[in-house]
This record gives sequence, C-alpha cells and structure tokens, in this order.
Amino acid sequence: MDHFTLKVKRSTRGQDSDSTQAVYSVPMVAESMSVLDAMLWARGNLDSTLAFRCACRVGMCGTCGVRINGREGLACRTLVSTEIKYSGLVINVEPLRHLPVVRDLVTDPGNFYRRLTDVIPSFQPADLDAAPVAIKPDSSERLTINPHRECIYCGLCYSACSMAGEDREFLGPAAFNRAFALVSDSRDEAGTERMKAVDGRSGIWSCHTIFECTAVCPKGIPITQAIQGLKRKHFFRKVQSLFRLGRPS
Amino acid sequence: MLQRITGLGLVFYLFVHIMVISTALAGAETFDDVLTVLQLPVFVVLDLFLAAAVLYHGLNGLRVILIDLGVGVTRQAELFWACLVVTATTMAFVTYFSFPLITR
Amino acid sequence: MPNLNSTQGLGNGGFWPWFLQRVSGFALIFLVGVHMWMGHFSGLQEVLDGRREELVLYEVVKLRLAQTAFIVVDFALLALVLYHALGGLRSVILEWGPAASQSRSVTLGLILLGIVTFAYGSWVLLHFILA
Repeated sequence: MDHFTLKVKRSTRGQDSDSTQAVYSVPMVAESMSVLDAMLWARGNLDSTLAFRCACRVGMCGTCGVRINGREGLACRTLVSTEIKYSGLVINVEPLRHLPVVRDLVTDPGNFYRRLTDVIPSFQPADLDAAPVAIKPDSSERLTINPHRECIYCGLCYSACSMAGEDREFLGPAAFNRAFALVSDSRDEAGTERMKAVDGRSGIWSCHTIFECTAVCPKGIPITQAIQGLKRKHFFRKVQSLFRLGRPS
Repeated sequence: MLQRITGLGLVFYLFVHIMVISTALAGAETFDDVLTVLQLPVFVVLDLFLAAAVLYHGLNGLRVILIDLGVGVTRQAELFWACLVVTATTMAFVTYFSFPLITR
Repeated sequence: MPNLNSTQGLGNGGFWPWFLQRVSGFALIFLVGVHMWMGHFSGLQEVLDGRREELVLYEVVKLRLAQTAFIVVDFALLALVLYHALGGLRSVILEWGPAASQSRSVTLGLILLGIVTFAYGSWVLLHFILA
C-alpha cells in the first residue's frame, strides 16, 4: 500500500520555542482518505499523544480547521490524494493562525468568538407584536442574505486574514459576514449598533480586500463581498446624514 | 502588496522630485544644470521604471475602486493580472518611443 | 465591548480616510497623467529633431505656468498627491509599525509633514509664476 508522510507541528501551550515537527508515515488506506483520517490513523496507530479537534467529520461543524501545506482548510474535507497531487507525498499540518495554541493543533478560539459577540451576532427582532414579517424566498433581500447564512464559524477566514495577524482587535471576516447578514435583514432592529461596531480602526476600514478569507471559506461564502456591502452601507448612511444636514444617521 | 511597494516607492520619489524642482529657487541656471543631468540616458531609464510604478499603482487603484463599487468582484484575480499585463504592454510602447532619448 | 476607538483621526471611524483615499486617487489618475504628459511627451518631437535642447528647462516650465489652467492643475496636483501619499503612508505605518496607542502622534506628524511640504512646494511654484 502507498504511504505518504504526515508532518504535524507540535507544541505545548503554544510555546514556539519548543515546537517540534512530528513525522509520521501513514498508509493511503482509501482513495477518499482525508487529512483528518490520516491524523486519526497516526493517533490510533503511532502516537496517541497527538492532539487535534474534530467532531462531525463531514464538514458541517467547523471544528477541525487547520493549515494544510500552508493553506487553511477543514481536515475532514481535504483529501490526501488532492494534496499529494499539488504538493507531493509530504503533507504539512499546522494549527490555525492568530489564535493562541493550546497544544499541537488545538487552538483557543476565545478571541475569535469575542470578536463575533462585538457585532451582536444574534437576531434582534424589531417589533414583537407586529404581524409575522414575510420575506419571500425569491426577494432580493433573501437572495442577498442567503450565501452569508452558511457560516459554520470554523475560523479559517480569521486565520487566513492578514489584517487579523496585524491587529488582535480586528473583528475579522466571520464577524463582518454575520454583521452583514443581520444588517441586511429588514426584520432586525440592531442594525445601527452593528454599523457602529464595525466602524473604526479595527473594523471594516482595515480590510484591504485581499480576498484571503473568501479563498479559504469551506462554505464558499463571498465574505469580502459582505465586507464591501458594509462599507457601501456606511457610505450611503454618510450621504443620507449629509442631506439631513447633521441629523444623526 | 505590490500596491504598497509601488506606493512606498512613489512617496519616496515624490519628496525627491519636490527637492529637485526646488533647485529653481537657486536660479534658472542652476535649475537647468540639474535638469540637464537628470535627462541623461541613465535617468531616462530610471524614469521608465517610475512610469511603470505609476501605471501599475494607478491601474490597481482603479481595480480597488471597482471592487469597492461591487463591480467585477468575482473576477478580481483576473483583473489583477490584467493590470500587470496592461502595465507591461504600455511600458513596452513607452520604452520604444523613448529609445531615441536613451541612445542620443 | 466593541472597539469604538476611532483612532484614525479625521472623521469618526475610518470612513473618511478610506473614502478620500479613493477620491484623491481617482482624481490623481488625470492630474498625474497630464503632469507626465507635459513633462515627458509634449515637445518630445522638438527635442528629437534637435530644435530644442531638453524636454524640461526653466523657461519651458515658466511658460507652462503662465497659463491659468496649469497653475490650477499644478496646485491641485501638489495638494492631492501629498494627501494621497501621506494617507497611504499612514496606513502602512499604522499596520506595519508601532502599536495603536501611538496612532495619534503618527497622524499628527504626517499632517504636519504634509502642510510643510505643501507650503514649500507652493513657494517653488510661485517662484515660477511670479518671476
């Protein structure tokens, strides 16, 4: 059976000084073998101390996010055969960036979630007594929001984003995506607060449309478009407030 | 990233340029002397690099504005390469027309 | 708490720097285009034919700046290019440089540099116009 080499960056408590690279020779047990399968095989047969996160194994939960051969991806959705085709018989796995490493490939997503809460990520209904608001499935509002509802909060975009690397306070693509989805929802009433939250230096204005987030999103969400949408909404609000001659937008 | 590098280069050039032109304060002769030197072939070549930087920075800037307006977002990678190609081809033309200035 | 720290100077939050960088950039496409045309192409044939020594000389600049249109173009160019250049420099410094706590001083420093350079550049332009 063909073997390939799995290299995993290992460390304890994220101390880069004592990070090592574990090298495992893993057999290709099936054509459909994923990087997660490889990690599970290594852990089960070679080294039971290897630490990583996983849950659903089918790309729904977003738990197994890692960097494979220098690029963010879900371990369960990345096929070994595809990686071998592009990068040869060595597969390098590292933890996600911009988050503290707990051990090996396990990161502490605290900051990622904190940035999310900054944008009020839950739906705030406008008027609870009004008749149910119907947004037709083919309405432009619904079609605009649809792709952005797919987020599984896997954190790949946050890891890929250069700006998140520069500024730990940066809200990040996932937060902006969620903010956009809710701000575009006509039934929600917290739009103004969210627009304020994404304003400022650690907000949307630090996004330089590098598109790294959109490139790695496992759900194919056009994240940069959401951020651009937020910038445009800001622009229109400024224009509106100018015409209202100083009344707060 | 290239936008940044060309931008930084152009900022540096901007201040050099202002200093050069300010030699006019020392009189017409000094100005003409300085500028005659700066139109020697080697500087014409350097000028071509400057033109390439300006061209790329401007074209990519337009691309950024387009993306901000929501135009061509799905094709943004192609637009980037288009900027490089247009810069390269235009510079080829410009270099061709500038040849007499370099070889005289 | 959301980071409402609007440390980007001008205006609340980062909208104005973002917006004005694009407006100035767009305007500069034309202004720089005209400037480079005047400096490198107009009169090129005369130089190649030998009827003129160089493209750019004191008298040439003086003649050009006798026309109101070019006076307007040159001052606008100076102002906008300084704004766009220092605005871009500010972004790079704030992202690649020291912490956010010093962003105020960086912005003020660059504004000062801009004003001083504009004054100096205007002085040079006036020299050509009034000589």
